[in-house]
Amino acid sequence: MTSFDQIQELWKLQQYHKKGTPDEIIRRAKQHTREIRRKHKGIIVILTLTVLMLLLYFISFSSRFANQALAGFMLMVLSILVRIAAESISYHRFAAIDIKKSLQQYAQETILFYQFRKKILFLLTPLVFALYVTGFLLLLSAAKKNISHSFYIYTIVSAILFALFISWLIIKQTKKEIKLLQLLTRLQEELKSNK
Amino acid sequence: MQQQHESFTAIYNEQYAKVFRLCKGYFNGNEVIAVDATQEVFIKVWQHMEEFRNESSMSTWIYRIAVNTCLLYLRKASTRKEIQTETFPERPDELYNAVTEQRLKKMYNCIQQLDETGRLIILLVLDGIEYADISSIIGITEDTLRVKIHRIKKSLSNCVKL
Repeated sequence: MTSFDQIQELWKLQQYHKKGTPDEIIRRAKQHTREIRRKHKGIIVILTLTVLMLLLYFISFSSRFANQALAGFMLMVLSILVRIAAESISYHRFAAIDIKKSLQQYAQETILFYQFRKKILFLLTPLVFALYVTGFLLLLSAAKKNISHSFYIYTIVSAILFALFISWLIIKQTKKEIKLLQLLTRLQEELKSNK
Repeated sequence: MQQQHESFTAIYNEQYAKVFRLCKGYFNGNEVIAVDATQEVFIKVWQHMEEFRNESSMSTWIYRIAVNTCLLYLRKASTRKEIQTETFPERPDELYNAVTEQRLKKMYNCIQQLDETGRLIILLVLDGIEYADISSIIGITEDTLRVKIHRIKKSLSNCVKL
């Protein structure tokens, strides 16, 4: 008996533990589908409401507000909308990857997805972030006259802390996705090689 | 619907052990992660069942889902913990003696040392899947697969040295 046969015998000795019955699996699968639909509807509702509020705000207050404050506010909302839309598109693109394909095809489709994500993270995200910060600065400088000095300082400090936190989250996410893209690329190379 | 429910139950009972072994081997013998990943595989099986077109056997179709699920299972979710190589669940099982457990632990560690493709291929080989089916699951030609399997078997046997 060769060593590999022994390994194979050992492999078959393993026992398994089940978690959940088929009924529970089906229930979870259905719940998962419902959650996805709800999430999708939720995003559409948020986007629609935000756009409507923005329009309403614009129509009602544009004459009373300084143009600078209004532009700042619009930029901030616009950057959030772009970000939500990008995440929503990403989510649907990932969900569209066919898990029933071979490992090689699945890896290829997933690589394309993470290359798309890379563009979002390296191009769109900094742009959105810059738009948000610009909007915030425009709004803040316009509002400076109407708020107390201590509140003005508080707003600046909390905004910096918020920006640092968001940057940390983005960097963490970017590193994770780049690592995953590298793994998938390596896997593709392994599959292509004859060794 | 009832018919689909029944066929899923049959598939689940028939294929669970195979999928679980694959996941357990992939996750370095970590039973907790393997159980959760296996559950995720079957959730996907249920969700896509209507799309099964008999182009391959049901077993091959499920293995494809299992392999692809395992590949990204830990990596795409930040909340899930990374596998710790020393993690091995303690399980007082009458059929398992200390030697078997030790050997299995060593085998998992050796599988973990293989490259990503090698690990997935050998897990299918160990479960006795036909080469033609493995070739369809992985997406490489049978000739390339044979070369790879030869190299992986050698490497694994050297590492385990039972």
